[in-house]
Amino acid sequence: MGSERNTNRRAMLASVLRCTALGAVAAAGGAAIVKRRRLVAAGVCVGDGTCRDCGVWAECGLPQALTARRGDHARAQ
Amino acid sequence: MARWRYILITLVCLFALNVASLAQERFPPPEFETDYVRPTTTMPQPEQDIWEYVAAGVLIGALLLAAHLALKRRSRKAIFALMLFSLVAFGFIRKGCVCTVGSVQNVALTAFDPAYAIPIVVLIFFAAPLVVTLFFGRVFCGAVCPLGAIQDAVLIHPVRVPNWLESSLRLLAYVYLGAGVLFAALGAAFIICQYDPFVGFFRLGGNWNILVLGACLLLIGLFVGRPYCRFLCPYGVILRQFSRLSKWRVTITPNDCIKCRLCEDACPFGAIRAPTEPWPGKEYKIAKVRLAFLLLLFPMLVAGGAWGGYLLRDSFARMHPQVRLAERVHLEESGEVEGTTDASDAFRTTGRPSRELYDEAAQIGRRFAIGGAIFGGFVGFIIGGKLLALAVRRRRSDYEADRASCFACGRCYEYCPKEHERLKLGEKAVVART
Repeated sequence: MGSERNTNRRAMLASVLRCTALGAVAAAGGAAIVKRRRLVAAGVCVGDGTCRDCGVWAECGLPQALTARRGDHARAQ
Repeated sequence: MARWRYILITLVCLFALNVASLAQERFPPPEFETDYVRPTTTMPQPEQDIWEYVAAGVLIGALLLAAHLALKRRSRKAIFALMLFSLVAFGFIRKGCVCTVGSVQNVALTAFDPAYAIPIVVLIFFAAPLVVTLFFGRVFCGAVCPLGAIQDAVLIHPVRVPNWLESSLRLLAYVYLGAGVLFAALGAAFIICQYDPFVGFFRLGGNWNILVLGACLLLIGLFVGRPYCRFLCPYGVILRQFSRLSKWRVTITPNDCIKCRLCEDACPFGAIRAPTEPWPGKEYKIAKVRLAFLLLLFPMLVAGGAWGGYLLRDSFARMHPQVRLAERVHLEESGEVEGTTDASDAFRTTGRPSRELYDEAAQIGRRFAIGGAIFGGFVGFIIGGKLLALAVRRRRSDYEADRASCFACGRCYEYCPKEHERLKLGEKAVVART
């Protein structure tokens, strides 16, 4: 009886924490999307590509980064 | 024996390709003084954005399929097939980028840098495995992550890692996560990407040191199941905590455990926990005293860690390119070093006064003092928490897969006689809920 009560209590706690974690992920995701839109509206360049707004893109030697960088350079010319 | 041969041939081929790429870099290209004009190099256009979203869709589909295969269908072969697909799709075709493991840094930078916004696709790669883990456990690790898949594919003779060693080594992953977040949040570096040990294999070339690191991990992985996932993966640390809360979970037996002990050594990742015996009275009293002592020690560990992190602020700050540049310019101006670097030359051409650069570096240093203290406190918190967790014994009546450590690879199913009985009778498995 006591063990069952403990199990139920633990399940309920896990359920509450799960919902909290889901809420946190959703809220953080929403905040990131809102921030992105705000920056775009403010005229800050935010490319849609993966590399374009990457923090290390300027120094990155990965193929996608090189391709994107050269693509940008070609467009500027 | 045949599997050994196959793995050795694969490793030799991968190395041969990388040796060729290294040989190309051995000598700088000669500078000819002739009238020859180099033709303009034509470069391919950047990848279309649509493919990024297709990749995100494939990821979500693979996650849901992995959950179905691990919990409902309970088929190791199907999970293995999906794992190989993920290795090819997310590893060799997409060349390990976007990487869910590295996306932690993009999230950290978004949170702390007001001028940075995370790409939507990277956000999906970060969040989708977390959400799926909250419902189905670590199915991402078992069948979708290419870093896990490449290690799982080479595992041929697993040996058991002692519990004390496993627990100690696992702390490295927390430290790595803390450092990755610290350096990304303060704009210093994306160290998780820089030291990704398998990305060189996916691209069949790259930094030699990182390739050697990856090869060493794969060699260790022949005998120790998924060493990177268990002891280093920073994203795995987050998934461990999320997996504890999962709504549905992997169970070794499809219905009742008969305690036959056949599954005891089935897991190469040490994730199967045996039933526990009740503690003898005397031992229980000692454990209570130990727990009280650890509870007292806990705040001291956090404070000590924070102090240690604060003391390391200068070393941490040197990871930032602006701080390194300021140091270099200062050394050049004070005459302590001769010559200049490309970075210091580039700085001088901007015409900015050095004072401005020093002030900027000092400001970054102050941020690292706070960040270093938080990082140290986090490490102390983790060590204290780990000691407390070791001091508490949980009661178990059956053989169970540890929810935090289980990768949902499905190996243990084949060892359970009740599973064989279920398959023979064609019954459906009951998916265990929290």
